[in-house]
Amino acid sequence: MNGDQKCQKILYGHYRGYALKIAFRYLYRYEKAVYAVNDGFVKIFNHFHNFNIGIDEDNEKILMAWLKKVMVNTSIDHLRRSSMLPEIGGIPEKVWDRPDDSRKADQVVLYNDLIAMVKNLQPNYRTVFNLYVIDGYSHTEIAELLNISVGTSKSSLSRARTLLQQSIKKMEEKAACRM
Amino acid sequence: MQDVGENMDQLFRNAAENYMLKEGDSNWNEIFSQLQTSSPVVPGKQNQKRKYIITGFLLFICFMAGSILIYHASRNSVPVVAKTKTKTTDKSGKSIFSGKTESQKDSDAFEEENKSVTKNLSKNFKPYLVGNGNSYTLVSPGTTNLSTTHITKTETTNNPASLQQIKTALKNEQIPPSIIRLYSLQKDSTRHISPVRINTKKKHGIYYGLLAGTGFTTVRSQDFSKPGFDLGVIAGYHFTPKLSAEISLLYSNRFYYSDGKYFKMDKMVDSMPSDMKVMSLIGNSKIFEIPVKFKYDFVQTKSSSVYVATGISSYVLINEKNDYVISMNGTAGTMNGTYKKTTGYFAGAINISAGYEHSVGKSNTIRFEPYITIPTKGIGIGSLPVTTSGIHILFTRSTRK
Repeated sequence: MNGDQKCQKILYGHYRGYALKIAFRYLYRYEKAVYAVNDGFVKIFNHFHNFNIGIDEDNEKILMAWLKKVMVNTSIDHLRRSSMLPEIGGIPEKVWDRPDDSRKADQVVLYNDLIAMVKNLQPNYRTVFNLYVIDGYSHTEIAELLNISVGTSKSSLSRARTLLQQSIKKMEEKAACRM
Repeated sequence: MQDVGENMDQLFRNAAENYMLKEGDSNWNEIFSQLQTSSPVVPGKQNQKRKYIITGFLLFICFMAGSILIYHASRNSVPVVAKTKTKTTDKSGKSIFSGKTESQKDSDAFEEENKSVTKNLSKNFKPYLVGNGNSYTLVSPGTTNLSTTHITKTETTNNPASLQQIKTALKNEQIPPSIIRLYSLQKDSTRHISPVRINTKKKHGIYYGLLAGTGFTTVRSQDFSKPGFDLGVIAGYHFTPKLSAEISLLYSNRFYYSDGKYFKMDKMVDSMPSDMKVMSLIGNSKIFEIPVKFKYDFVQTKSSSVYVATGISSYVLINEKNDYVISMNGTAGTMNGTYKKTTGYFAGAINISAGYEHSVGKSNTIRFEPYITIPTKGIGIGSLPVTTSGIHILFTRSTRK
């Protein structure tokens, strides 16, 4: 795998979407998420010698977990570079995709809206929420990763949850009005 | 309430897993370009880098430790008897030296009368003579027997090889060698000793020499490519024993790496497609460097010194060869460029160095000089601000002996 351009290209093609979905939860701008994914893949290919490929069926799971970790760390690095400042402007509609199957479409729209809610949180709340709720990090790990205290991590999570509940409530009210 | 929170978390987990995002165009070319520029971090290369850093650090520690040792050695250098003494004469015509015992006065009187003996007496660990100007007694130092051998003034003054005479006399007296113990002026509290630092070798006039060295060149503290080398000649002039001015002419071969963002396209914009972008480059430059600097010896001992030097370096670039990784229309590729146009850069860098100098023979010295050149302007086709650090070894020869 090391230095094998063809394999790298296949791997990139296969996991690009997965990586982009991780980075996009953390980074507000789609373009930044794309940059973070590129950086993440460069890191992965440069350090691929650390990944031991065996015949184990769990290899893919291990690879995906590693890829997820690299993408999360790279996204946080990109956030740090922008000093965790909130970004203005909405998320353009063109970045979202919709399935052809109309039965699933509503469900996907809901999921997309939920992710948009997370992205609209302040960067510090968004990062803690993503890390704890979605990516399964503990408060101690978050504190270490973000260089904050465990208490700050817990309070950020609490605040994020409150804000998201309010957003869900607003969304439900809008939906009720339409009906 | 906890259930609500738990349900909400699960909802967001599902959303994160199933939300749909357009992947857009493949960025493989960009990733490939980055992979070309950022060489894989393989353990071997990491170890090599670490080795360079550790070696550099150890060299620095050795240099600092050496400087401190030399500094302390120079402060605690062996004292010798002060040569400036006030001589007076008493009524009886005997020579009197102030602040000394009678025997020492006589000894010093002998020194005055017989220079060759004085020279020997002034050294440590030697037998010494006492007397009244006409007759002298050789004292075997460290013993209580003071009257072992008598040498008359006439004998000593007329015979230039008086030390030999003393030795012969000692032999004739058959004094056992164990008795003729060496006498240390430092340990004799009865003698007045003025601590005088050993005179350092005086440096005057012009000196010249050869130098060779190696160093790493970096652009804005990025990764380095491989070590380069310097070969050259040096000439200098001592204004004072401590301060000197130097000029050198070096032929340098430098290797460097740079990210494309530090490479200015201004000079090659006419010869390149407009949408071409340099992602990174690995370069090699052959230059003549002319450093002019001032050197100050802040620690000097008899045979060595520790110094600092600073000045400016001008360059004449004679050949530049760059291997580029470029991006054009979203496609990555490689390109080579060789530039043979000779270009001069006056005061292109500030040169700072410190070093250790050791005398070899009467007029030769060898110097070990770690250095750094800090750029004041960019050089080459891409106006790259290159910083070079390394070590020079210099062999110099003074014209004045």
